[in-house]
Amino acid sequence: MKKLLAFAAAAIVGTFCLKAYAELDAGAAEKFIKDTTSEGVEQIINADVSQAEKDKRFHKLLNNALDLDFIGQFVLGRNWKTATPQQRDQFVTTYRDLNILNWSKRFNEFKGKNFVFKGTTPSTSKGQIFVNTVVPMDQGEPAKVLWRVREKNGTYKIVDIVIEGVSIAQASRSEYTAFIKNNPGGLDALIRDLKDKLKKAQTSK
Amino acid sequence: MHSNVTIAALSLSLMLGACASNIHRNDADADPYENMNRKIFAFNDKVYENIYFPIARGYRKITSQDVRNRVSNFVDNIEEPITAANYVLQLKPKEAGISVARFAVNSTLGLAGTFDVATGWGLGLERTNANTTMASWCMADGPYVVVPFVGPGTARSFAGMVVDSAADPVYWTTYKDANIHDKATYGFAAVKYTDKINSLMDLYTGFKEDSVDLYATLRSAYLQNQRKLKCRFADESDETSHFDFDFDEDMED
Repeated sequence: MKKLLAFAAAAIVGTFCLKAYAELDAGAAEKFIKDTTSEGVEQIINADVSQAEKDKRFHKLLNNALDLDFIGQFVLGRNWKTATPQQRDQFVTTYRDLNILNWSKRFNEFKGKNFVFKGTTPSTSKGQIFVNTVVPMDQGEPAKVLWRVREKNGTYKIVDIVIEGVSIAQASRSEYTAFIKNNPGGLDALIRDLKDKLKKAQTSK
Repeated sequence: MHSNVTIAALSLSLMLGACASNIHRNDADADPYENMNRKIFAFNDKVYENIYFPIARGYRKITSQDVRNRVSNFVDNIEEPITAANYVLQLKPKEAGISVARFAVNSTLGLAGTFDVATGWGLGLERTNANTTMASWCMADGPYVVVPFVGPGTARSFAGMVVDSAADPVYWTTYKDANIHDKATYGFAAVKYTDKINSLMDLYTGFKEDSVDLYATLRSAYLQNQRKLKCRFADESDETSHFDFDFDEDMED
């Protein structure tokens, strides 16, 4: 009987361990970033196609690769909890469109460069992992770029990019928190401001 | 004069650092003088836009990218002994050795440092400074402050800046010859800061375009950069600890 109980306990523990391993498949997370960056660099930045076609491809790539709904919630911090469903919806939509435009611009800075993969680092957050890369630069030290990857239902998405030790998500969160705190219009004023930026970015393209 | 300034800077850093914790979870907590800092930040923005950036644009107009690269290499090479000295103080002999070797190779084969030959030999540039040295000996960073004409920093980083300038190789190699001392010191400072502004101008402009609160964005970026500096007695195993907080916090997933 004791042996049977021990076997059952081992089986349960084993199942949990397998689940934890499946949630943090470092190889799969790294492959996801390799595929995303190579698609971005080879099939978009370096591709001999029109800018309109590049924009279209970027939109599709970033929409699939970035978990912008998750990031959008994170960057609003505690303000997410007090926001109305309408405010949440408006914020996430605007944030999503603005970020796709901004990230297209940032990705362009990697023209002619390549990402060198340096393994992964575990995260303390559930179902997340960091994929470590460095980008050799024309001048000076290579840039360290860490990709925070989140796995959900077998799908991998990027939830943050840490460039030279600076987390983009944390910087945005700090920026939006300060804006809402210092602006009498609060979250509505932030959404208005972001919409203005989006319009400006769309017309300046 | 130089050593007095260094001692004063270190004392100031120790005094201010003692009042603050090394890790501020919230950027606003690290910024007790926010109101004043924001005013100085607005003033600095005008200085950048009306004085510094026009100089950098002029510099770009009269030089090619190749010339600017040579200048950057030259500045990096002159500062290499400061990097080496800081690595020694951080008890990192391997990095210090690489830095010394880089200086020797680039100063000679690299034509007075204008070509970075050493990187091609596997001796890549890895900069460090007195701020990182003080952080490695667990000195707290102190409050976030914005200084007119200079920009953001912490008590420790400004003290580090003073210490590094006190170790300026141009100063110490020319101080015996009054004829060239001032010209060399000020000339190098002009070249160095034009090069730095040139390398930071696009980044600043990009942040300004994208951000709804530029002050808060740059503060966050700066403080995150400070938090990644590790104390040698802390747990070094967790490289991501400064940005790997609970990502699910405040989330409704």
